Amino acid sequence: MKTQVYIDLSRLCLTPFTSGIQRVAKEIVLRLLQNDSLSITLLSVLPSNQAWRVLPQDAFTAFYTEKQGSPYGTGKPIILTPNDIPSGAVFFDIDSAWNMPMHRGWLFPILKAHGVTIVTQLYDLIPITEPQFFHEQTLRQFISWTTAILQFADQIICNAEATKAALHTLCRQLNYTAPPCAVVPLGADFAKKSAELEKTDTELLEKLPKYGYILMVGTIEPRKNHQLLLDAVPALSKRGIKVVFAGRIGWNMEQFAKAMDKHPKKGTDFFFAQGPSDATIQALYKNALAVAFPTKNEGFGLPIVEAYLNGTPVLASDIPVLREVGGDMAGYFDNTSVDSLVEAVDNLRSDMKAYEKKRTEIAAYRPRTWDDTANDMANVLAASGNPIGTMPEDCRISQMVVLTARNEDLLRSLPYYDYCMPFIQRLLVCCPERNVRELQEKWQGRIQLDFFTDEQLLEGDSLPEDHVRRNFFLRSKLMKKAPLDDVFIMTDDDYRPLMPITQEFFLKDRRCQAYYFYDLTEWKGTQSAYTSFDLGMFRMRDFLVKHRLPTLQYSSHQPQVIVRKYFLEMMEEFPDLISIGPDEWNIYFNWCIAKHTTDFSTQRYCCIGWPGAISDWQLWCQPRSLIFENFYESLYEKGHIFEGLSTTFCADTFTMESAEKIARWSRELEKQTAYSASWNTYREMYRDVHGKSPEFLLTRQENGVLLDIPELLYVPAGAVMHLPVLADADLRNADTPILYEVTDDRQHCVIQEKTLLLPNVDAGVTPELILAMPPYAFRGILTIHYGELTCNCAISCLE
Amino acid sequence: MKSYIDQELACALYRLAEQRMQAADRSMPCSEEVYLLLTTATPGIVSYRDMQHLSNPDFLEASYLLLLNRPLDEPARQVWEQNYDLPKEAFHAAVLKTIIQSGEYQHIRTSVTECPLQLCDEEQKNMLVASQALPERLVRLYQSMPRPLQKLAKKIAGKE
Repeated sequence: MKTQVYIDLSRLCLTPFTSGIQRVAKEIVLRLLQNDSLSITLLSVLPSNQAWRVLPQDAFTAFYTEKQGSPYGTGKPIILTPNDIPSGAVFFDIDSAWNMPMHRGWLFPILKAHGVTIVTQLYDLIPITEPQFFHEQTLRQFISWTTAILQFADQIICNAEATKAALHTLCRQLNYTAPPCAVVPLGADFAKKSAELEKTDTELLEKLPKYGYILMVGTIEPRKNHQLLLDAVPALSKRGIKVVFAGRIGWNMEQFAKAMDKHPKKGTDFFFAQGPSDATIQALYKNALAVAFPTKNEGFGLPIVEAYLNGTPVLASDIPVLREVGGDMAGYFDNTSVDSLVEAVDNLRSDMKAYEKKRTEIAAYRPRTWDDTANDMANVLAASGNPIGTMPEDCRISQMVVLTARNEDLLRSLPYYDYCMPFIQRLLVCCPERNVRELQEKWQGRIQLDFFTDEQLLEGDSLPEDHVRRNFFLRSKLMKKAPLDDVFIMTDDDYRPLMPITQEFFLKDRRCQAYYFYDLTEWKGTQSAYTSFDLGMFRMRDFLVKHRLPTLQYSSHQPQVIVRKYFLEMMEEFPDLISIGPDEWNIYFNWCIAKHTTDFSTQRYCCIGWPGAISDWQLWCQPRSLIFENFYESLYEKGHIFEGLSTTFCADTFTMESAEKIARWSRELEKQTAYSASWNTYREMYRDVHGKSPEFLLTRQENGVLLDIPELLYVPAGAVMHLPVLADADLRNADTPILYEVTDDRQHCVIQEKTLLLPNVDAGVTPELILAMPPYAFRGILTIHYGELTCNCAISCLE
Repeated sequence: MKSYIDQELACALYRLAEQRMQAADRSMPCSEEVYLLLTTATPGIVSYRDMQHLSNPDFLEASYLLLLNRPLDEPARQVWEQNYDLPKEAFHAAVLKTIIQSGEYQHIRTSVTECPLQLCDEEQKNMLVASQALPERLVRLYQSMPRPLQKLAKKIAGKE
């Protein structure tokens, strides 16, 4: 099975000419696309900076090899968000990601929550070790990016041993553990540019005697230390050696440009070829005595390789990375000393026979190829990904476990399991002793019922009052005491399959499938009256954030697979969990994704009936498919979504009824999507006019409390709108609620006065006004009262 | 603000770079507070609440970086420097209004949230309410238009 690799090439796509890092990224990616062990997806960020478009590989290849078309292709773009990158895949940053508007500090935690492996190419750390040489924007972004890679990268690929050493030095200074590092040196067999048709600067070349000048090629920027060579001009001039700079003037070099311009030896012993043609550069290389690199620091030193490829000897700064790349063929000098540089030049000229021999040696030099680099990189990437988990290959799930005190509910759900889950042989029912007999008598199906009673489980311990705490308490006891299989399905008595399923739904490619429906940091709970469930979610969120664990919400109200040993391991790591009272699904799966990444795969939930009514909360994500039902009897009552359908199992009608339920639920989901699109259009329109999002704000200002609301709301008829009220923490108290009502333009009440308590229980949650709009169009006024403040907002309800 | 970034690590890196800048007689391009704000920002969304505590110079710097995705340019800095002693709220509103009404910002999809400041003129503010008088079919048509067409429609209607 191939390792899936996602590569964000946003900078490469935006850069009109490929040089530096973009040139490296292009050379490697073009080769990775040919590698059989990897399945590559190329990405380029969208203007929202929160999603990418997929770059079609054929369009990308055609553009970067034959300069045809555009890397984006011509078809309808495929959009991906960070939540779409699957568990086990590798996210590989090879482009200059610090320059990308999709900050890695935002992106990487999302990828980690899904069990995606993060691999980053590290070219150098010079913006941190020598920040004075960098543009302020690069510096700011590079430090942010470095924070993110140190914290989240699973693997760093360095281009040189020196870069790896620099990373380790940095981590020692920070007292931080360095991520695992591999070293993959860069290739250098760039396709030679055809310079035949270009003009050479004959005027310049005629002034330069063969082997009578030192050449420096590349953009003039502070780090490259052109100053040292310029300072050496008088000494070199005395020896009959000239100096030539070839390149462009870079950032922050205005003063230096003036100094070059006014140099007394300019035009005689010192020359500057600004923006020379490739033909001129090739001619300059050919006759230069040596190419000099007095650079203060380098990531790799590709220019040395380029000099060798042109057959020219090299004099380089005596720094580790250049010694690594230049090897024995180069001469080295102290990059702070003119004398040292001049001495190196003297050494080179002292024995012209030796010099000619060196040129012959260099002519035979063959650089490492990009093919070699791409192969080595592909090996690192393939080893980093986890296309297949490490759960036992022969793992068979045959046990399901339920905690219940409601015989009737369980007896109604059992036939669904019996019919749809043929791989389940046994159901362990954890219930009060008094329930056992009735279940034994009434259940005659295929699945064998085993029992573990509350009395056996508790052994005299008393049960916590709170629902969430009780659930975790019981499950913890269960894991330790009950006769459980190593891997089993945990369910509730009211989760029902809608269609036959196989074990693959829970365990696929040797990975447990973990189904999430929300992000805990976004969970708002029941407005004005937090339930025990909500409070459990808030506790869970705080616990997970505190321990730097992911925060996806797995209480998806459908059966989920549990690995007993992992649950026990988690309990061992956090022995005080029972007293904290977490939600059992969220703590378990988030911990597993972080600690046993290879064995878990995150998936969007697959159930109907959660929430009970789709409008109960704003959906954070849509279900991937509809496979289970979280059974609510009320949904089958008159006027509700499943009216007319059966609440109990009947083999003859099961398939038709399930299809009908799925169709009705899907229609509701589609409506939500349409409402959401309509609301987003309104938000865009509002933002265009007001410069900010339409929001309800309650803030304390110098001259009192301010209630700031939008002037106009466009809302779709029939929608249930959740409108966040952003209230300062000190204004949140139970004594002063927000009251709100909607009247139409004939003064008829459309939504009767409602109360929103501003709970001070949890300041991390945003309270919401909830407006259930009638299914017809009208215009009216939303009136909001807070204490003595009253605000009106025009409301336009559109069909 | 929702952020998983290890702020201690982020600050340690900043300080390390700062020491080296000082050794080279240079200063960091932004304060530690602004840098932290950038490091923990959500792409495309700028929360005023996260920025309102900043000093006026820092607020200016952060606004350019977060809303325009670029550092403050020198001519702009010189203009704003003369207003550093304005009360925070007035300064913040002026900076945000200027940026948001600039042509440069119109091509950027970043949204300001959690902001009680008035960022548009009274005339503009009433435009949306006035649009309520339009037949709903026209409004729906406007809503379904791509952004450039919406702008054109506004121009034709004399609203821009």
